[in-house]
Amino acid sequence: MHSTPALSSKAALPAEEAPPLLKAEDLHVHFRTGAGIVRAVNGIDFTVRAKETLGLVGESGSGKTITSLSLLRLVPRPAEIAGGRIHFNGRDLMTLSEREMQAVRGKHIAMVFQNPAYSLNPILSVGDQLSEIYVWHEKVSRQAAFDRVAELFNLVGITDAKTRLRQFPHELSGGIKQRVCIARALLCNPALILADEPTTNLDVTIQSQILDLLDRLKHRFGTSMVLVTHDMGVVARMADRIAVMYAGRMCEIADARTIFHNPQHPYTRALLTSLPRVDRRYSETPGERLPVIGGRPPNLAAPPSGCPFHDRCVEAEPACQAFVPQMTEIGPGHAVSCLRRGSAGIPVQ
Amino acid sequence: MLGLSLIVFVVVVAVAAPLLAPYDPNDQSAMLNFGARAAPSLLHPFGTDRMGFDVLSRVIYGAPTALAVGLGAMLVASVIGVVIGGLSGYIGGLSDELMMRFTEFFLVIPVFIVILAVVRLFGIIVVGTWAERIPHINLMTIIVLLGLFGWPPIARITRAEFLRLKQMEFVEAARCIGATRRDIVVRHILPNAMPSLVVIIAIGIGGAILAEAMVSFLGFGDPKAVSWGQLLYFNYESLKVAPWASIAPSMAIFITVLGFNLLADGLSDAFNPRLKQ
Amino acid sequence: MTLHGRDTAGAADEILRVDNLCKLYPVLRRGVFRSRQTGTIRAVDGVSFSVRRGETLGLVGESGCGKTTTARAILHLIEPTSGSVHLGSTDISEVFREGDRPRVLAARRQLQYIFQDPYLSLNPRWTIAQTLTEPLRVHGQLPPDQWNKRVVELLELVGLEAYHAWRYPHEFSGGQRQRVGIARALAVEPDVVICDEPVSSLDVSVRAQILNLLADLQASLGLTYLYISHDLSSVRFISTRVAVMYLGQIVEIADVDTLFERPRHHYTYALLKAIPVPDPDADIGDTVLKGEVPSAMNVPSGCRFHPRCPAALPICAKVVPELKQSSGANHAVACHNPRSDTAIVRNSTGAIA
Repeated sequence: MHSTPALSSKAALPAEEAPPLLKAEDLHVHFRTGAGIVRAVNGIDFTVRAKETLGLVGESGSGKTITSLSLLRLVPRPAEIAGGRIHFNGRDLMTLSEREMQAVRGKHIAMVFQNPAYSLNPILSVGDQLSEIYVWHEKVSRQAAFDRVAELFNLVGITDAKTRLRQFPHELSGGIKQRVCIARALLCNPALILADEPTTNLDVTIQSQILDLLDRLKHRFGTSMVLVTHDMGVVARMADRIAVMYAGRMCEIADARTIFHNPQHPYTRALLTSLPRVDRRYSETPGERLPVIGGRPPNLAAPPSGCPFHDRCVEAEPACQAFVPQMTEIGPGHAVSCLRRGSAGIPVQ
Repeated sequence: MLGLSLIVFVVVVAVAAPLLAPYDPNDQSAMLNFGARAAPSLLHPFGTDRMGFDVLSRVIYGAPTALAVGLGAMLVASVIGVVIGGLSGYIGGLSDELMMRFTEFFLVIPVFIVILAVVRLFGIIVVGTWAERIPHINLMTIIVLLGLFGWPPIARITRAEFLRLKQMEFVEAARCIGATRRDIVVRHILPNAMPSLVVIIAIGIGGAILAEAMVSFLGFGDPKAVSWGQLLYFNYESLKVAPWASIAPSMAIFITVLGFNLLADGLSDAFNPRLKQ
Repeated sequence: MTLHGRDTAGAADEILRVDNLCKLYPVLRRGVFRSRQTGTIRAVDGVSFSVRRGETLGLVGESGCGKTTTARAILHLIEPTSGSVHLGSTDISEVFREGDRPRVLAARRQLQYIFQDPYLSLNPRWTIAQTLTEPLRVHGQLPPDQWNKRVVELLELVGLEAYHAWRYPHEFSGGQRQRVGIARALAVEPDVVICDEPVSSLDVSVRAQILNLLADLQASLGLTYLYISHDLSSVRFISTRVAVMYLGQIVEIADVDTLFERPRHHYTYALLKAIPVPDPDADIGDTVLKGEVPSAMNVPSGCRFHPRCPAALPICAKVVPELKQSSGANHAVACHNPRSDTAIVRNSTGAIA
């Protein structure tokens, strides 16, 4: 199915014409703590087009997971969505009632979590818990729901689906559990799947199998996906477009190839170069050290003023501390928030 | 913190009892003018009871007794519970199995009946011996018995904490360094188990005070000690005629036990690092 | 005795030698009065290797392959079922078993451990100074009045500052905590340090810092590392030799470049091919390896990898392949039908073609 890179699915996608399936505007998520407000997501805009995979990349505390959860309005307490609009299928999800929102979750937008062990109910057989969801959303008979689940199990590569349906989560291995979770996400043919680090807890060989599976399903059903991950390798393999986040803000967004071959934001560049590569002979240069990002990850309770990355940035200039850079388009489909790249800046109050 | 304020209030009352109480707890002089079961008045704010004691004074002098019972019983229970639970959790294996069965055995004994029986028996045995001259010997018996039967929950929590903590990486790190077992238990495991232990002990103090009140209410208390349970025992029959004599000690028990339970809640919150941030 | 993949010529300066290490766990079915053994988990099953002074041996494998169990058995955090561990000329598995305290402490001083999770490996109720003085106190090599000086020295060694000594772990980021963990391991001036996934719970931007620190410390203090990880890219950076484990056994061991460029075991090849390459043009094709790692409770007969192996022969199900030297002097592989000894081809993106 993959012959040459040039003909791979990523290139074939008519990225520009596709209308946005989901559009998030000026999204804010706040944690109210004793010490004050922590802005976990601080004004983020992005779109997800039909049939595309958007990679949301960042380190812990960058707000990538909270962003994906906020699309379903599922942010955990004490966090709350403090502002923004989420347009999906012609509706603003922020204006829906909780009941209407429930009908969206799982049916139109489904989720695959990082830890399959925690996202399955341990006291129900997997067949029971998946068919229950299908009965609830589609109002069909239990038998029809079971048939649907069995069909999906076959599809996600779970052999012997009839036996597996009766098994409980603890009887399944991590890889199979994640396949069950993917089957659950696909139950109602959602338009969008949010996958939060779907392979982080899996071994590389199992990760590879799951990524294969996600890739295949995406093409078969034309589902859009938001893939949250910290792994540049995973996102390179899966995403059509990539958004890089840092300290609750967006640094850079572009198609995957631009992010990897022509990254503009200093943070994106640093992320890409700081990782050791499996295809390099380090043994020939014993004194060689990896390029590092200095300093420590941002403290969201007391973020640096101006550009949140300025205190670790090799290119920082005094202005970076005084102005908050705004996402500015610097090429077709390529936006970056860095004063050194010509982004507009808002003075710090 | 309401719990802490209630406890502080009770402790202050207990310590300053001789200063606060308007009468001696054994002063029955009210019989001479006001009479027994007198309604609350300026001279006897909580009234007098059916024996002519000043209720306020008796309630105030009951506070040190209650605290002695609660703290004493839990001291005994904690020592036994932490030792048994700690050994059980740290050593594991067969000794763990045996000690936990032993603990469960103590949990299924009808504690109350045993305590009543032992207190009565002991009360009879000591009569006429040197032990009779030890002050508050009956109260001490009750305290020790409450402790002897109150340790299983502490042992179970200690065991669970030790099991959890001995697998923590910082404990393994200490083993890698070469720290001795004693070091590991005393310096690493026990301090980290403390938060859970303090919570269960605070709840236990309230429970012990309540248990002593029940023992006394049934008439098995120390006749020489002033205790809230005993006040109830003496006065519940005249509940309709002189309700104040029963209500005052009941409120005292209520406030104290509530205080310790709220304190336990507060402590478990205070020790939870997630809530701190 | 087989060669354990160890270079006979370099045996003289080997500092850590593990011989036939086994850790088996009985699977018990509990009855009312006694338990019956119904099976055995072969977590580590006959692992032998040696580490030479000043080098880094990478030990890689997927979860459940026994790499961490191997490390913990070497350190006697769990008692090995059988086998021996030599540190220099001392059999430290015997020293730990006998428990003669001065000799145990001497062994502990030589061999230290860096833990995976910096959030769990520091006592949360202790200041950094307390954590770092503990090894000094236990070993008593240094008079107490010099402890503070030594703590500051250690902090500076790992890139922290003196004022950090009075802080508690929760005031630090993951990377800083891992630095403290490294400082604690170095407090007793060990020769050999076992690093168990020291960067896998850290953020991407901090990983490079810690890897560089480990490389710097090795260069300046002449440390020997046993570096355990499932992350092959960090292994490539830091290791001089690499051993690959599968289901409790070493399947291949070679110099780092040989292993990454001319792997002979099919499992090593599959592992290398499964790593996602950070380049959208990379096309790693279909996953080679099907299925999942079998349970260590009922391991496959013969070669443990044969049910998933694309090149399995009938003999693989019957005869356990021995780890024996292949073409190169520093390359040993346990396989009846190894891959040909040719370099794997990577395209311009670094992906295996």
